[in-house]
Amino acid sequence: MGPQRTAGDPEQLLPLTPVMLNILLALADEERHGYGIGVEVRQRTGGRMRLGPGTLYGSLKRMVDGGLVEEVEESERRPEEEPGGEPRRYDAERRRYYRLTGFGERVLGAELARLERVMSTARLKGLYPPSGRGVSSPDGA
Amino acid sequence: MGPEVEPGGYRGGRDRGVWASERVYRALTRSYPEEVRERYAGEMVGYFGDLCREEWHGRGSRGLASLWARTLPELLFTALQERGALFRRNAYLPLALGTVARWGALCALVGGSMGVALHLIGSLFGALITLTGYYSLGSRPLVQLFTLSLFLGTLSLSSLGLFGLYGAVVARSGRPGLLAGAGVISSAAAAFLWLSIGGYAVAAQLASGSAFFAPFEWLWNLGSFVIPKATFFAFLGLLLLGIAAALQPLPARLRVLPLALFALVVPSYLLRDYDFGTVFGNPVIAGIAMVFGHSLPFVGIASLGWVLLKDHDADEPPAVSSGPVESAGAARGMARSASRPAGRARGVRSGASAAEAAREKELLEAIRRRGEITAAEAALETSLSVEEADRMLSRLAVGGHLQVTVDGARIAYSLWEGRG
Repeated sequence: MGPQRTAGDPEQLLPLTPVMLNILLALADEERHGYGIGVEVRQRTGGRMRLGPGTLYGSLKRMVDGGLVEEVEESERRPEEEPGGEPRRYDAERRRYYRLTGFGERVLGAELARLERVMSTARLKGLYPPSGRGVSSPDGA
Repeated sequence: MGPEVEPGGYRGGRDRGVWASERVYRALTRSYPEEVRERYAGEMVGYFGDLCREEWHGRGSRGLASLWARTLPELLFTALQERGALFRRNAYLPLALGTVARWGALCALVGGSMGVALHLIGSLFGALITLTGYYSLGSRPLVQLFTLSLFLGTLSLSSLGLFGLYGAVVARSGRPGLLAGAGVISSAAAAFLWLSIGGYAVAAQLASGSAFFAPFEWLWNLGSFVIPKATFFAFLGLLLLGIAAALQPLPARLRVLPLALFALVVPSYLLRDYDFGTVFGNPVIAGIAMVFGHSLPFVGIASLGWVLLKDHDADEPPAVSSGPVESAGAARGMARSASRPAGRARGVRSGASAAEAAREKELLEAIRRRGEITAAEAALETSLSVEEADRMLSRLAVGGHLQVTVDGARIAYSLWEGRG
């Protein structure tokens, strides 16, 4: 595993790719495992973004290496329970949870600010809201 | 969208398809580099298994087939991406994807040029035979060896050169897809056939001692069997890569050229030995047609190599794409960003030529001197025209690199405060 970045200028990582932005958004409110991230992104984008295993874990790897996301230590996390009260063996066997780091939160904030600036420019130039000249509404993140 | 399912469920006999899919996917994860496999292969298989159960539960075997159809190209691309990242970090092999594309393009250029030279030489000898009636070098073994080597080298290099196009497609768009993958496999098959018959010829030649081309007859027979297959694969590769390039968000020249070349190259190749003498009643016209027919495929391949070498750093940026698969440039962002000097933001220099970068720097220095600038003022201060300055300022602003101030109809650009 590469050295984790804990500080630095978030602007240097911008603009984020759509996949990375959506993964950061998925982890913004709670820690999730890979499948949880995939489901959240798919539901939030109305099915437009379906993360394949290679795309999801490739991005997570780069984000963990870049210090934007960290894996949650097993000791920090209470195992999820089956309805019967037993710990879910599936999770213990192969699930790993991820959460945003402080640096990841700053990068996400910087990216959202950048997108806001882009939207401001688009509004100033009359490109948004779309006037039917070929600029479509950016539904989904 | 399929229903979200309880992870790890459906272990009964009716989900054998899911079980088999997981097994197959687990085997396919070997295409990723070891460092990725060690850290993530188990999770990737688990995640894929969850997706399989979801699709199986929602749409049955059709859903599973659809998931595989989405996953296979994604697996191919991300495995190449991860191996490419590993490749870039290798201090002994510091080759970037763009470099691979350039070498491929160089192969296409050299192979194509050799092909043209070969046929020009052949035509020259043909003309000498026509004029003198007896001139011949064909029986001399060294000439035969030279001719065959040149021919096989030409075909091999031309075929390998198609990787140049593939590299360009990947580097510029980052979404190769199945077509480009099939194209590159076809090109590789063609190169393999040509290289192997060439290698076999050389080995047999060496084994036969000093008698050059002693086994020429069998080699000729083998060549007549293999070379048409290799040609077919080469043309198929060019066609598939051409279609893939046409569908990618590439600059217009790269998008159109490969298919245009295919349209030119294949008919000329197929008609190269057509008896035009009977049609035109004139052996000179027939000879010219044959020379063109032989040479045009290689002219086309050489042109492709030349354009790729020239165009790879074109000013025109590729169109922005979105979707589940990241663009290669975007995916490279994280890996590159750690080593990128501050202020050299991705997207500003990406794909820009040195000249474009110099103009951009000139413009940014003008902004720093004046504090705030309009497109017309930029045209007065720099070598840019108003239109060029306007386009460049807009691009930088849309990328979030410049602040925009609007005062009535006046649009001014400045560096962000505290960052200039």
